[in-house]
Amino acid sequence: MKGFIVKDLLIVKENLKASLIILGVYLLLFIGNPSNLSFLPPFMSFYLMLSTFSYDELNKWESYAFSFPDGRRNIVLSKYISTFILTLISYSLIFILSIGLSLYLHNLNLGEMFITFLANMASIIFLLSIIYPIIFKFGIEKARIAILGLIVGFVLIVTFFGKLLSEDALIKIFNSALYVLPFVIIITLILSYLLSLKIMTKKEL
Amino acid sequence: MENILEVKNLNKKYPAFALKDVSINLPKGVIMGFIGENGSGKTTTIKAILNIIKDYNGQIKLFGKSNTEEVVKEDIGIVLDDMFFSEILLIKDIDLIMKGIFKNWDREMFFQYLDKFNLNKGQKIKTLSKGMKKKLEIITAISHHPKLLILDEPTSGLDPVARNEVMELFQSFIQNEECSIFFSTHITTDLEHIADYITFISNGEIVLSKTKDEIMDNYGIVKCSEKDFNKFQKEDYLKCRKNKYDYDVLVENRKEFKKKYKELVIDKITLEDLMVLMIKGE
Repeated sequence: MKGFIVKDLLIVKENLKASLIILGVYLLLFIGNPSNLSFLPPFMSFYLMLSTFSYDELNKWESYAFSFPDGRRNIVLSKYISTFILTLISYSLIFILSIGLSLYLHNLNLGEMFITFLANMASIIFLLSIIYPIIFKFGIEKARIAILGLIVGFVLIVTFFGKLLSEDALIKIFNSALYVLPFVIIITLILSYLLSLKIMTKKEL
Repeated sequence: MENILEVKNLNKKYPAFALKDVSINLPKGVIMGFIGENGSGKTTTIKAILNIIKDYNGQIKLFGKSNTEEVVKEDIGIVLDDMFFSEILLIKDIDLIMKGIFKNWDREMFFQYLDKFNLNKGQKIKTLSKGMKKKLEIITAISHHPKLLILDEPTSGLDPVARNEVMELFQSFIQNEECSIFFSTHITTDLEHIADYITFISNGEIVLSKTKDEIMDNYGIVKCSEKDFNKFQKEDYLKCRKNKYDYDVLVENRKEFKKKYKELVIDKITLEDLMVLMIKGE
């Protein structure tokens, strides 16, 4: 399985070189307000991981990898682990960068920043958990519309509740959800993996 | 002789196409050419062997074990048509990836072959020509010392020079290892030099599976006029084809035929003529 993860991370590395300009522009735009930097890691995990699916599909990697030992299981497991590694790296990097910037700008609020990052990371893991089985089932090209729909829906729901409830109420909900959230995310993730595995075990190419 | 690959009564139905009772036996240490026209079922058969398609009837065994057992895949090297690593990767990345996939991955051998065939390990896969890429795919397939190589159209789309180099690569591999090769192609001339067995599939059915020598020593082709052709009885030949001015007639036993029709010239068959007559002939 290690080989499968290495393959994804190598694609990410190559693709990252091509995305450096976008990243640079983003950094420049939001450098004044470090808490906005928390949007960078999800962009990186999301965009870069989805691009590994695109490259796989372009060169029919799945058919090729099906004939490797434990190919079907490893394709699925490696995507989840690669995503985890990439998410962890990107969040850690940007978190450290944010702390540094905040210290420099004298507006460090570590608690708030930590919660923003955590909520943000939970959202991205939740979204990817829903998206991965769809991609494994239909392929990235066909899954794109579903992905777009999901993201728009997710943002709309969050915005709707944001408008509907007062800030105090939101913070209250969020604080109480904080303890449940990790479990919800972990269960969603496990269910997502099992579903993806089932899809892949049956898949014919 | 021990069989490396056994396919027994493989059936698979698609809306517009079906594999019908495909059976193949590939003994240890031999090269089998799997020939047939485009769309005859070669790739589908290979996909079933490799468990890329699953919903079929029949039994497939590799090294005496079911093809659904993951462990058998350690000993198979594959070259599939148009299926490979992502093209933005570098050639040397393949080594990093494959050593995490196959227990027997031999990086020294991989890099040696790259040097031998002038492939630059720092190059991106997408910058390679079709022939170079095919060579890379084959080098990748043999670098974990597989006992069975399964190749789907490894020479299609290549110019004669690249094809020649690819065949050389097989031959250098066969010399070093005791290994079987299952080789699908519609370019039959490739097989005339290296194959021991020929299995011929047409429209989803195996129509012929024999040793190459058996075919080359016995089968023949007669080019004759309509007048001569009318003298033949149905049991004298396998297939015939009417051309503009003459007839091509496929004969299963050259010597017997020659005894009966001494005045006619009968030539050895080429695999290409065999394929055309088996498909187009009546």
